Amino acid sequence: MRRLLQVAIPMVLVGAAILLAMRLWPGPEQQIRKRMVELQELVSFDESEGNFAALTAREQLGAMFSPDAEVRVQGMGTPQLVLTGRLAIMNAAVAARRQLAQLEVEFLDVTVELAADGQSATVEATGKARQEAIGDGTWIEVLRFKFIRTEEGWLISSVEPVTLFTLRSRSGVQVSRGLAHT
Amino acid sequence: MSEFAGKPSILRRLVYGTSLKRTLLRALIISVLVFVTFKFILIPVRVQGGSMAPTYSNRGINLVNRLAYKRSSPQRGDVVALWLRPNGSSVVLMKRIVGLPGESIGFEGGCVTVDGVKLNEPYVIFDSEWNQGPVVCGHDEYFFVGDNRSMPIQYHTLGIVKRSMIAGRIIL
Repeated sequence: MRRLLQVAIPMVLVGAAILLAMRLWPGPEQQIRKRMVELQELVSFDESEGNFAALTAREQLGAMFSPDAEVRVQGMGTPQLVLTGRLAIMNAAVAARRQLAQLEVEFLDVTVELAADGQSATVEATGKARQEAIGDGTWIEVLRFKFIRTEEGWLISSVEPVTLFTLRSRSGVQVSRGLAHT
Repeated sequence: MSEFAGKPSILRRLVYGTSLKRTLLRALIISVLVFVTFKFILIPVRVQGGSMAPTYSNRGINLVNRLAYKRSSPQRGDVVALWLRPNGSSVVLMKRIVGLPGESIGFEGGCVTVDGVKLNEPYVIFDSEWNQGPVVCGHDEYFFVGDNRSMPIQYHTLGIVKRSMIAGRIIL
């Protein structure tokens, strides 16, 4: 028993030290995953959110994107939304808060692929947005994010929808369809 | 020694039976079976959205049979779960297969047409005016659509999917 403890205790301590080190000095993938969590928190809001919190979220959201970032998302039954530049993204966040009482966004099944040079990364995630006001108002879309490494940390340079299903005409032309909901 | 010495009390027997070892073993086996069944064979899903109404209602619970198409192919009329990502995902689409490989699928006045012939769809209750030119399913491809055609077509996810993206058949 004593011998077992002599082995187990150092192993537990080493494991704890590794976990602590990973938490204090996260690698690029952990940093990007943390960014994705921050992003879903910043784009989500509820009725109780005050003006100051909304303004803070707008500023923090802007700081997550590169100045020339481009965001393309396919809304439910609406034309593709294209936002170019950090300011347009920040303004869209404000507009969403004005138009909707509440929005709950989640990024699920996040996969991170780092470039060989370590200066950029491609992230794929299933975006899920839900509005309580609309009973069936669940929007789902697989999104591809491009991250770039800057002095300000990892910033999002583009967001685009991933085409999952196609409607293919007889002529062979493929018509892309964004994913609406389940 | 009392005459009851060695006999477990009723409470003890209720909690872990006559033998703790056997009970723990049984619990372990049942836990493994439940885990394997509901993780890899019958995946529970919760319906979100109304695109399969009235066949499946919003927020209903269902099961996806992952083994359904191991030995057979999806059939017309099957309600299936579709992966959103090639390597699987925690969100699946629940739709009905209406087109099989090689068939030409279109919509006329809300009805599905297969190679130009209107398909009998008793599960479609709501009328609609969906019209869409035919599209052709390739080899190993299926056409899927929801039952609720009362929704405008642009609010609906429908189209061609590769068989590899079909997670399984909905069983309830």
